[in-house]
Amino acid sequence: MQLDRSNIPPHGTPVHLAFEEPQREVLDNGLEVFLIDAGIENALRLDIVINAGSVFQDKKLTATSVGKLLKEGTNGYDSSKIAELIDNYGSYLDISVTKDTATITLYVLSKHLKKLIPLIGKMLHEATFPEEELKIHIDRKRQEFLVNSEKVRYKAMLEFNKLVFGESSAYGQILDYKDFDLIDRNDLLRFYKDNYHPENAYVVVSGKISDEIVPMLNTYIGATWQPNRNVILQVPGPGNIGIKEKYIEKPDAMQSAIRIGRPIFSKQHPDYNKFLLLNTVLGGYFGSRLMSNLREDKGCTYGVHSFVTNYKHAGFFSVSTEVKADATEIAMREIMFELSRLQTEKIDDDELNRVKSYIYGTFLRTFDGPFALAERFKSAKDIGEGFAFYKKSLDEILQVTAAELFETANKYLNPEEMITLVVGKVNNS
Amino acid sequence: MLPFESFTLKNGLRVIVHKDQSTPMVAMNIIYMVGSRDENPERTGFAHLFEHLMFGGSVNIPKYDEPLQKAGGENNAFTNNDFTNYYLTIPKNNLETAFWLESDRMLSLAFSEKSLEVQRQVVIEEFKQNYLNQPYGDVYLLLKPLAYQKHPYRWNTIGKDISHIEQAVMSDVKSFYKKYYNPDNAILSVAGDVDTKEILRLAEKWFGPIPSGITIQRNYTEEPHQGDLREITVERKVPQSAIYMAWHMPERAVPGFYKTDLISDVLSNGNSSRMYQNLIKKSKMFSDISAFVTGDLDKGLFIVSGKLLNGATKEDAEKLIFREIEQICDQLIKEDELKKVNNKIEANLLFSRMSILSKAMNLAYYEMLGSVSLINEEVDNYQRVSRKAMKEQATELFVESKPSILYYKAVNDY
Repeated sequence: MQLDRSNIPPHGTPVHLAFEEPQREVLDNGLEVFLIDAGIENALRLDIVINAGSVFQDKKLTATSVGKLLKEGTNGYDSSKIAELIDNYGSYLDISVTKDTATITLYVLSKHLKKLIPLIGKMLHEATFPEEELKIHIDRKRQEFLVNSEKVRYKAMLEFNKLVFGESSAYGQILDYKDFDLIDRNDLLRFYKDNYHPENAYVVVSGKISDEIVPMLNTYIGATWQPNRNVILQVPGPGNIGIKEKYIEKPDAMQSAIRIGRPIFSKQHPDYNKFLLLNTVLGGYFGSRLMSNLREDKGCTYGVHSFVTNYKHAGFFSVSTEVKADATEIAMREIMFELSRLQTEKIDDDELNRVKSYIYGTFLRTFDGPFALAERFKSAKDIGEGFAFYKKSLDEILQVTAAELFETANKYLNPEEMITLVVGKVNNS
Repeated sequence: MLPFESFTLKNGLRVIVHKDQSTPMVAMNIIYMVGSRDENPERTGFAHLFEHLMFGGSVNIPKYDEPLQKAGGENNAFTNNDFTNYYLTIPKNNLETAFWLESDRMLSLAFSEKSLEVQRQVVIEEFKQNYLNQPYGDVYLLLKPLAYQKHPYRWNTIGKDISHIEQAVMSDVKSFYKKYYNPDNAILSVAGDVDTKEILRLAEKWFGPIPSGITIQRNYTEEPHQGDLREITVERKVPQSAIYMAWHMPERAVPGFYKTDLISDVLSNGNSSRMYQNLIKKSKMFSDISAFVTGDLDKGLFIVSGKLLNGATKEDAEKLIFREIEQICDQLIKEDELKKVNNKIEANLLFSRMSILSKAMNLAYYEMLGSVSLINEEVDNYQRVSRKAMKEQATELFVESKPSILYYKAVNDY
């Protein structure tokens, strides 16, 4: 029989998202531990998530400096000793600080966990924040900031955040050159004391889980990291949005960075899943309307994407691209055109089904491997959910109709409600 | 040990299968053994431009992306000096869609003029976005032609110049495709909850009918030994001056590669490494420092790059870097240092096996290096290296030949 190369082969029966919820344990100090037993390699990932992100700081740079300096000194370990220990056992210690949380992540061969756990315990409650290390850290970060500020993309990211949330909001604060001179060690000590507590944190262990892990965590973290009953977690409030359009001229720029968007809800909102689908249609995947229009039809950009960015208590929607400088105006017009098109024409079934299938694949894809499972679990846990959240979310997305999508577009994508930012060449001559 | 099975179709397509039941997704990776080193010096950037055209429709399928998205799949690709790599992940129930799509674009392309015209523009914007409109973006556009004078590694994958991309025409596209995009010049790997018999059936069904190409003659002009130090200084509006030093080093598949890679690890892998401790923490004259190998199939580069801090001059920077280099040549590294970097290599290999996509990519890559079974010999290849061999290798690298130095001078108003 002649091979039919013109038609897509029939699809098999879809597999369903089904993941066992992690096993939950509680250490002596009340700290929750979630165990995700998966994979065949003898490797582990340990995440300690603390509600100690930048929204909780009084002075800029405090939260990130505290996070980064955890590996620059604790009682009994100085900076070079910590570095030796981590490298000797072939492990990686990353500390990432976002707006909401600080996360200590250790990647380690299972057989070496016990060598490193005492150090991790000390980082949580006996960090020393040496003055000298702070200076080195700040000097390096200042340079990094200066270099990044030369990138239109980075500049646009900072400015857009400020426009969307308002500078007075904890989510809208952005760095300035002078902030690097204002930070001092006492700010770090205070922030560490106020925010690094077991009732303000949880632990996720993923990989091949053995019986030794929980007792080990209990000895070096559960028994030593003392609870602080006085912690009150503030919820950051919204700021005031002022201007809706901003243009930052960079006369010699070859490309302009464009951001168009608006504040939107957090993940718990009833319209969240519908909006996620809408965003995918618009600019959330390679075949999206924006990509087809600006890249594949007009060739004026390497890429254009739209995003739903979620923090714990806030979120925003944005379209983001860098375009050929003399196509800045055309690109802005076409982005607005694609927003209105979603408000005036209902999506056809073929496109709707394609986007749904794509999202279905994306959900499955983000669960590739034990360490990815940990990543997914943390995102859900941060809003008080577990793996079941994803199944519910996906089921809802697969049910959305063209009419509902149309309604959602009319509710949230009005061009006149959008905030616009351009960094680069604004006046085309 | 990473288990795998492999077979070769009659038309020369090599196929590798790895079973991992822990995920509902399957990863497929295809390497075509063609990269920027295969380009005409007057038409650089072509292999990468061609990679973009591979998404512009094939003979029976007008759009590559749409049916893949319908099947819940996602894909991407990259091009480097030596090869072009296409990869996708797809729910296992739709795996046949991946075979259908990839085999059709190996069979023949649509060769659409519109696609060529648009992708030329897209690649030009990519050139600007990543190499020109970016602080330090042009470093490798400057460093590579300094370090290489004869070998095709002297230009970058993105191309020597935007004009080369502007000049690409359809006849170039067709002859390039005919020469390189053939089953006997490709390696296919599949990882996921699959079995080899089924993969063999699908591979024969979809790829089997594609004819082989004409055997490719590869003759790359060998780069002559560099006996003189070369240097250039450029002035740029950036916040910090930076230095880049490049020495020639052995090709990927010989023992010298492993020795050289270990040297780079001793110097700068991890915060306990020599350069991090001495140049960033102690001297405070650098905010960043890194020593790394390019890992090219032909003779590559050993590169040290650093950004200068606290008023450090070019001379200060060179002195500090050369001191570390000389030490490696003069004294055996410590035993526990060697153990440390080997532990890191062992762990990295394991960490790179935590997802099906990276496993599929690695399997195809090692097959391209010579044989897929090399993937399970990597740790031994490193552990076999002695401290004495590293010292000898360092002498060969750093004493017997000279580096190329790019000093990227900040002219700033900060």
